[in-house]
Amino acid sequence: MHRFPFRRLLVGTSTAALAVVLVVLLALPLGPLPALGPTFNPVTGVFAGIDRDPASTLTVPGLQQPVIINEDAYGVPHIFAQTDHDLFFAEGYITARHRLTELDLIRRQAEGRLAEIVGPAALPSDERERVLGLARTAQAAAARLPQVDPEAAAELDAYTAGINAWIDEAIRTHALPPFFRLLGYTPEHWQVADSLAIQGIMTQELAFSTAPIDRANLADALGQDAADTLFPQLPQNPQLPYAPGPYPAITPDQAALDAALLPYGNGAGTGGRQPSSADAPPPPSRATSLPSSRTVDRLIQSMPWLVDPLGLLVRPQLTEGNSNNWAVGGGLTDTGKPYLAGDPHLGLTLPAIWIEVHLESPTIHVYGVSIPGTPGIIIGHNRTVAWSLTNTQNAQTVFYREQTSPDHPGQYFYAGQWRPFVDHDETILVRGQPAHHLTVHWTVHGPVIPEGLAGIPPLNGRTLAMAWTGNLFSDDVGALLRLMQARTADDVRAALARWGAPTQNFAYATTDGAIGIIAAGYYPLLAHGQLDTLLDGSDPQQNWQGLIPANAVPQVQGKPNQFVWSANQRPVSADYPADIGSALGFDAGYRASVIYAFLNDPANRPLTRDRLMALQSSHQDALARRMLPVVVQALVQDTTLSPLAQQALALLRQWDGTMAANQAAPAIWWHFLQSFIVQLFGPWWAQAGLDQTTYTLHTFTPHQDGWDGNLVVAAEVLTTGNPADRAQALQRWLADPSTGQPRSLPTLFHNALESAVSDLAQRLGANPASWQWGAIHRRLIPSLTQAPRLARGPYPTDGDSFTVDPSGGESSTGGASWRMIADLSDLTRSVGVFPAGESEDPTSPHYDDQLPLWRNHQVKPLHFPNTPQTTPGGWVVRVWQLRPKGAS
Amino acid sequence: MRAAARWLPWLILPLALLIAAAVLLIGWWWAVPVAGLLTGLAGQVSRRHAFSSGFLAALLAWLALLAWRALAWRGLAQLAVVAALARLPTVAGVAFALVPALITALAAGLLAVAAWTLARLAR
Repeated sequence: MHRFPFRRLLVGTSTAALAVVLVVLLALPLGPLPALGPTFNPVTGVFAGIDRDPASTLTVPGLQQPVIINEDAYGVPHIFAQTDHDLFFAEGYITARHRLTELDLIRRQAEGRLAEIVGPAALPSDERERVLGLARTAQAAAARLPQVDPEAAAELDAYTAGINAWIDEAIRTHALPPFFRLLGYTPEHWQVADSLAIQGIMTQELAFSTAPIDRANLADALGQDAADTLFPQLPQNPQLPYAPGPYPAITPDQAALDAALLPYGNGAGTGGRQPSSADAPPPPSRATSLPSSRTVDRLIQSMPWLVDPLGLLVRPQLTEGNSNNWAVGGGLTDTGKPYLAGDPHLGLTLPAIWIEVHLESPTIHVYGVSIPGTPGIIIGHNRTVAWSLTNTQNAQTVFYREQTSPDHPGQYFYAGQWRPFVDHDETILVRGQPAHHLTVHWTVHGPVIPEGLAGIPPLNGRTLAMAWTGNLFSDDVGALLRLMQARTADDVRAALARWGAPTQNFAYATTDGAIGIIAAGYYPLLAHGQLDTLLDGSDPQQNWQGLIPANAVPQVQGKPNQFVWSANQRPVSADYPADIGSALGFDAGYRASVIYAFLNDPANRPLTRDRLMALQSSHQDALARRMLPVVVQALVQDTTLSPLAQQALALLRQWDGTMAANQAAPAIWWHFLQSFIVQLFGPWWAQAGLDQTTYTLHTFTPHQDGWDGNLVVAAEVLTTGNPADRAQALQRWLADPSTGQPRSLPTLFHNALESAVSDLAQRLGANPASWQWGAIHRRLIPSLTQAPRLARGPYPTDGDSFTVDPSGGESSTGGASWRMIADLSDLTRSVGVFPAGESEDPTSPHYDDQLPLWRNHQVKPLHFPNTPQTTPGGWVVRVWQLRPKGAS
Repeated sequence: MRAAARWLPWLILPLALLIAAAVLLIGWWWAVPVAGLLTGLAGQVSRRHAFSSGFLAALLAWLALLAWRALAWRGLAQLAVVAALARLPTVAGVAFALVPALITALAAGLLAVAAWTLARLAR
C-alpha cells in the first residue's frame, strides 16, 4: 500500500491557488494602479483606443442612406449626406469618434455628475452645478423642444443617435479612449438633454456673473458711495458702441418671458407663479456604479481638471478679453464684396472647445466650427451668409436678497406674506463613498445660493436667490439651424429671434453685400430696481417684467461703405431706452478702439484678407497708448527717479504700445500698471480689511465680472482725466485713506515705476535693455486632462489682456480659440485656424496640427466644395463611406 | 497513446502559444493561464515537465501581441499617453505595460505545474 503523496497535493493546490491569486491581482485595481490585465491586454486594452484611421467603408446602424466623408489633410471631415438626418447623424458619429472623452467630461460637469466617476474631489463642482440647475433645465428643455421646434428636435435626435452609434461601436471594438480605461468606466448613451446641458454650460461660462455680490461685498467694506464709483452704470472711459442709435421704444415682452419659463419652478424673478415640486422632473437618474479605487483617488489628487474640465473653478471668470468680430462692406474691400472676420476668445485646451466640420446635404451647406455636443456649426458660413459671435455681456444673472427669519424657519417673505421654500432634493453619487444629498431651496426667483458654494464670493450673511437666463428655455439649436439655412440678412434676423442664452453679438455678412450685428438673446427687464445690484426679493415690483423684444435688441446694419465691429464693448450708447446692465459687465473697450481705428483708417484701404488677418493679430495695447503720454510726461520731470527707473523710463518713451514678446518696454509697462493699481487702491483695501484673496489687486484682467477690470478703467480715467466729469467721482481714490490728504498722481507714478523695475530687476537682471516681455509672459495650452506632457508650451508670447490678439496675465491659458475670415466674394477663399486639432488623441497627427499655424498667425484654407468629387486635388487624404446597416 | 506521448512534447509550446494568442485576441486576458493549465496536463501525458512551456507560451504570446500593437497604429505613443495620464515617466509606462505579461506568464506557469502535479496524482 502506497502512502498518499500529500507533498504533491500540496504543491499542486498551492501553485494553483497562487496562480489564481495572480490572475485576481491583474483583474482588480491595486493601490494607485488600474486593473492591469484588461488595461494592458495587447489586443483589447488601451491600444485599441487609438483614434486610428477607419476602414474605407463602415457599416453604421441608424443611417438612412450612405454618407461620404472626405477627410482633409488636417483631419477635418467634409460630410456629404443625402438627408439632413444622415448629415447630423454622421456629424455626431464623427464628433464622438474624435472627442468622446471631452463630450463625457463636459456633460458630466454641466450635470453635476463628476463625483460619480472621480470621487469626492469633484463634489464642490457638482454641488455648484446642481444648485445652478443646468441638468434640470436641460431635461425640461429637451422635453419641451419637440413641441416648440420639431425640426431642431429632429436635428438633435439624429446627432444624438450618431454619438451613440460610435459609443456602441467603441465599446464593442474595445476602442474607448484610455481615459475611460484608467478611470474604469464606460460612457453612457448620449441624450438630447446632454447636448442642452452643454449649451447651458456655455451660458454659464459666458453669462453667469457674480458681479452684484462683489459689488455688495465691496460696499460692505469700502462704503456704498466708494463702491459705486467702481460700478458705474455707463462707461467711464471713452467707448465706441457699435449700435449708436437711434433706438426704438422698448416695451417689456412678457409673453416671451413666459414662453421661456420652464415647468419646474424657475420663477426667473417674475414671481408670477409659485414653484411647485410637482412640476419638477426627476433629477438625472443615470448612474455609473463604480468601485472605490485608490487609483482614482490618486489620479484625482493630481488632476484638478477632473473637478472642473472647463476650468470654471480654477479660472472663475473669463480672463482673456473675450472675443472680436467685424464685417466690412464691399465698398471698402479689394473684392467689392464684404469680408466677415471673427475670433472668439476662450480658455485654450487640447483638445479644443471647437471642432471643425464641413456639412453638405440637400438643405445644409456650411463650413465652420461647433462645440462638441452641438449639432451643425456655431460659427462659420453657408453659401451666402457668414457669421461669427462675440459675447454681449449684458446682465443676465439677477440676485435677489430674500428676507428670512428665525421665527419662520423654511420660509421667506414675499409680497407681504411668508412662503415656504420649495425644496429640490439632489442626490450626488460619489465614487467610493456614500451618495451625497443636497437640498436646493427655491423661491419665486430661483435657487437659493448656499454660503460657500464653489466659485461664488462670500455672501456675508445674506440669503440670495438667483434668477438667470441659464435656467430659461432657449432654442439656440433651432436658431443655428435656421442660420445655417439663411440666404439673406432678413433670414439672419428671423433665425436669431429664436436665440436665447447666452446673449451674443452675431456679426454677419452676405454675398449680396449686407453686413450687420445683432446682439441676439435674452435681456431681463425690471419694473423697478437696477440690474447688477442685489434686488429686494420681497418686492414683487422688482421681479422680471419681461424681456427686450427680439426686434429691439441692440443691432446695426451697415452700408457697403461702412463696417460693423464688436469686441464685447457696451453695444449701445446712453440713449438706449433700457437697462441692460452696468458698465462693469462689459469689456473696457480697448480692443474695440483698436479695431475701429484700423478699419476706419484710409491708409488701410482697400481692406484685404491679409490686412484683416493682420488686424486679428494686432498686439497694440490701447490702454497703454492712452495712459503712457501722461505717465511719461509726469515722470520725465521727476528728478528723484533711481538710475534703474530712468533707464526703464527711457525705454517706455521710445515704445509704441505694441506688446511684443521680444521687447523690454511691454514688461515695464505691464508691471508699472499693476503697481500703479496697487498703489492707488492698496491703502484703501488695507484700511477696509478687504479679503485680498477674493478681491486681490494683483491679478487684474478685464472680464465679464468686471470688478477688477473696473480698477483698470478707474486707473485710466484718473490718469487721462477724460472725460473729466466722470473722473471727478473717482477723485476720492487719490486721497490717502488714513489722513484724508490728497496723493498726487506723479508720486503714485513714481512709486509704481520704482516698484515695477525693482521687481523686474529681481526676475530678469539689472539691465533693463535686456529685459523681454516674453521672458515673463508665456502661453500654455494645457491638456484638458491637465497632464503636463500632453500640454503644449509654455512659450513666450506677444499681447496682453487688452490686445486684439489677447493673452491675459503673465501666464496665459486663453486666447483666440478660432480665427476665421470669410470672403463673401468667393467663400471658397475663406480661411481659418484654431490652436489645436480635430482629435483628442495625443497620438493622432491631428491632435495639434493646426497649432503651429495658429502660433505663427497663419491660416489654412477652408475648402468648401459642393460635392465630394470637387474638392481641390491633394487636399483630401482619405475618403470613407458610412453605410446603413443592411445596405448592400 | 504512445504516439501522442511521442509527439506531444513538440506540440506543447506551439499549442499553448496558439491558445494564449487566441484568448488574448478576443480579450479574455484572464484565460491566458488556461494555456498553462493545458500545458501542464499535456506535460503529464507526455511525462515532460511543463512549467517552462506554460510560462514561455503565455509570455511569448502576450509579448508578441504587445509588440505588434506597439509597432502598429501608434501603439507605443499610446503607451506614452497612458503614462502621461497616469503621471508616470514614459519609460516607466512602457515597463508598466510589461508587468501584466510577466504576471500572466507566471500564473500560466504555476497553473501548468499545478495541472502537471495534480494529474500525476490522478494517474
